[in-house]
Amino acid sequence: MSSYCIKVEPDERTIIGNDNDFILDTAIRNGVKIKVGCKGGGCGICKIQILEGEVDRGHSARSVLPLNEIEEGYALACQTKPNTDVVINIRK
Amino acid sequence: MGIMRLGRVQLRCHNWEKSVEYYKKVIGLVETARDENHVYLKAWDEYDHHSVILEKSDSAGLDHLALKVKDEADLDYYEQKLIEYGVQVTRTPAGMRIAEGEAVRFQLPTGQYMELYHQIEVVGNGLPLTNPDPWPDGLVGIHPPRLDHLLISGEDVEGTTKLLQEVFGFGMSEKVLLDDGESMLATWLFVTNTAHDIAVIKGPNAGVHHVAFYLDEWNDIRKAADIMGKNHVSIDIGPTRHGITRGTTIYFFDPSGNRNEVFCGGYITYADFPTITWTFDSLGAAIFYYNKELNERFTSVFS
Repeated sequence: MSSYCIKVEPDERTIIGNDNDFILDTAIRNGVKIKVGCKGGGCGICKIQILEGEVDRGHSARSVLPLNEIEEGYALACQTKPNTDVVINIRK
Repeated sequence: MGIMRLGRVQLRCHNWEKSVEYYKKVIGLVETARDENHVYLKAWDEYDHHSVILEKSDSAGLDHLALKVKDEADLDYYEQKLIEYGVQVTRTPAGMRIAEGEAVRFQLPTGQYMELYHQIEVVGNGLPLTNPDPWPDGLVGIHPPRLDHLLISGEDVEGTTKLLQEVFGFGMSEKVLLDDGESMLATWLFVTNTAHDIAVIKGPNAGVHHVAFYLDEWNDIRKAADIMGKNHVSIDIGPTRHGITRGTTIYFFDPSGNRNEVFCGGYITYADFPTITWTFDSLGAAIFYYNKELNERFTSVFS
């Protein structure tokens, strides 16, 4: 298990997560306000944008996270784990 | 002749392996068949082959819902009524799904596909029909006795409500009005004598808010919450009580993000049941009677 820095924009905070934990769970533990939906990758409520770094997007429903959005860096925080240090944007 | 009940729902699951395991081990449905992309499940006290079909997909959501009719001749009867109502109808051939006969298929004004069917293989509930015990051995998880109802979403709540009433004879047990005091935010409709078999709410077209399973007692709701806790299930809200239907409830999500409910209680309806109305300013109490306020997730998450 490896730990990574997750820099949260626009909050300008950095929290520590690991490659075993979903970004949403790490955010909740650290008081970072990402909206919580189904936590199953099916509703799209927790959508964030990965600005820098590599992630594993896990099981995300195509209907709420289409391929063009993945290309633009979007991810569902409830299903996404960091594979490197990352910078994320949590505001639309 | 007539509509007997909500017979089945087919749910799309993108987190496939985990979702199948969840419906079998946590909800405690019984697997009766599978093919490459589907698993067929029934609740323990249902006699028919299946009431839930899981479909391997790249998304979550409702593929279709289906009503079981009393007689084979009802298929022709209701098909004609739908055509006269102005609805396009097709037929799903017998055997297209495992254990099923032919079905009449059409689309509701809110976008969901609905089918009517009569024939389905009967597998029983695990108990003899003579001198049975109250429940069979081997029940796991929450093990609800049956599929109870679902809440579907779309723009044209009035349209779907009117179709279900005028074509299929559904009654309306409850409704919530928008803040104009006239148009409908949501309706609760029954064709059995439960408080609701299908409910309809304003929201994304072709959406599903939740699929509900029935539990017999309030204590079963508490036990269900324990099982959810043990299995790290994502709970939306509950245990609590609805103002609408008086039912006690927990809302929670499957691993693909489809919302489930366990529902207990509610009142009995008959054909002469009057419609109960909730005003928009009482929506909190209508949905969650104790807290009297909605959580944002409950009103914004659909699959």
